[in-house]
Amino acid sequence: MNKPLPARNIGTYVPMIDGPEKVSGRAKYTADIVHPGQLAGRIYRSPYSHGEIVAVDVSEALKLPGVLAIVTGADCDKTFGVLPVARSEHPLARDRVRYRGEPVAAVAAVDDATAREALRRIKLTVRELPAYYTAKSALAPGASAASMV
Amino acid sequence: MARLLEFTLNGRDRADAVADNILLLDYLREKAGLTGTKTGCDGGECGACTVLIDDRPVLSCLTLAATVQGRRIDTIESLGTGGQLSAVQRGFHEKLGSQCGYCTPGFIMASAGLLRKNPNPSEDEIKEALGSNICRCTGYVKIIEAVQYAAALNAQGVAP
Ligand code: FES
Ligand code: FES
Repeated sequence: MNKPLPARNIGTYVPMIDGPEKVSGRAKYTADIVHPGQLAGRIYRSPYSHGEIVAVDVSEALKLPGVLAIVTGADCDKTFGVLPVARSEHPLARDRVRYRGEPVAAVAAVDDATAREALRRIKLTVRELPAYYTAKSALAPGASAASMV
Repeated sequence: MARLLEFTLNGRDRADAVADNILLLDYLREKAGLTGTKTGCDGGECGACTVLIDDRPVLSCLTLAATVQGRRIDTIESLGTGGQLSAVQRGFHEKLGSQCGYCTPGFIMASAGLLRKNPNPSEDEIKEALGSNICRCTGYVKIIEAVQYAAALNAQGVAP
C-alpha cells in the first residue's frame, strides 16, 4: 500500500469538478429530468404529530381517473435508513406516525394536478398519542417514546 | 383562464399563453425549460427559486407568472457571457460557496441582485440580502466570502 502523503490541500481552495455546471444552472438534478410520458408523484404526509395508524384509506383516491398507483406503509416492510439514527425507518409510515409531515402514502398519477387531487381523497385515521414540542417535555418522566428503535 | 403574457426573459422578448394560476417557478421550469431555477420548499421558505424581476430578487414560487407582464426576468441561465462565468458564479465556484449546488442558483441570483444595486456591500448587507436563502450544505461563511470575492471581481470589470 502507498504511504499516505502529508495533506497538502488543507487550507487551500479546491474547486469542485462539477462546480461550473452547478453555478451556471446546467447541472441536472432528478427533478430537472423530463421523460416523455413521465408520471407525477406526490406524497401524502401525516397531519398528526404522533398517532397509531388505524387505517389509511386510499380507495377514493384510486377511483380518480388518471391515478395509476398508490403505495402505503403496508407495501413497505423493509427499513432503508443509511444513517445510524435512521436505520429503523421505513419509507412510508407503518403502525405509527411519529411527526407531522411523515410520509404516509405515495401517489403516481398522469399529472401533478391529478396527484394533488388524489392526496385530498386519502383518508388517514389515527388514534392520537401524546406529542411533545419541546426537548424538555419529551425527556420528562413518563413521556412516551416516539421511536421504535 | 389563460392570457397572453409578454415579457423579457433572459434578455429576449417572449410572448406566451399562460394560465392564470401557474406559478412563475413552474412556468420557467416546465414551459420555458429553464431548470436552473430550483424548487426547494415550494412555499416561500428556502430561496432556491429566486430570480430577478427588474433586477430585484423575487421568490418565483410565490409569484404568479401572469403578474410579470412587461417585466424583465433574469434567471441563472442569463449569467455569464460566451461560456465565461459571471463574477458571482466564479465567487461561488472558486470560494466553495456551493456543494450539492441545489440552493446555489437562488443564492447566486440573490447575490447578483445585491451587486447590481450595491456593488460594494458590507458583510451585514450581504447577510441581509441572503436572508431569504437557506443552504443545508456549506454553512454561510463560504457563501459570504463568495459574494465578497464577486464584488472584488465586479470592481475589476467582471459583470455580476
Ligand atoms: S421554492 Fe421558493 S422559497 Fe423555496
Ligand atoms: S450547496 Fe447544498 S444546499 Fe446549499
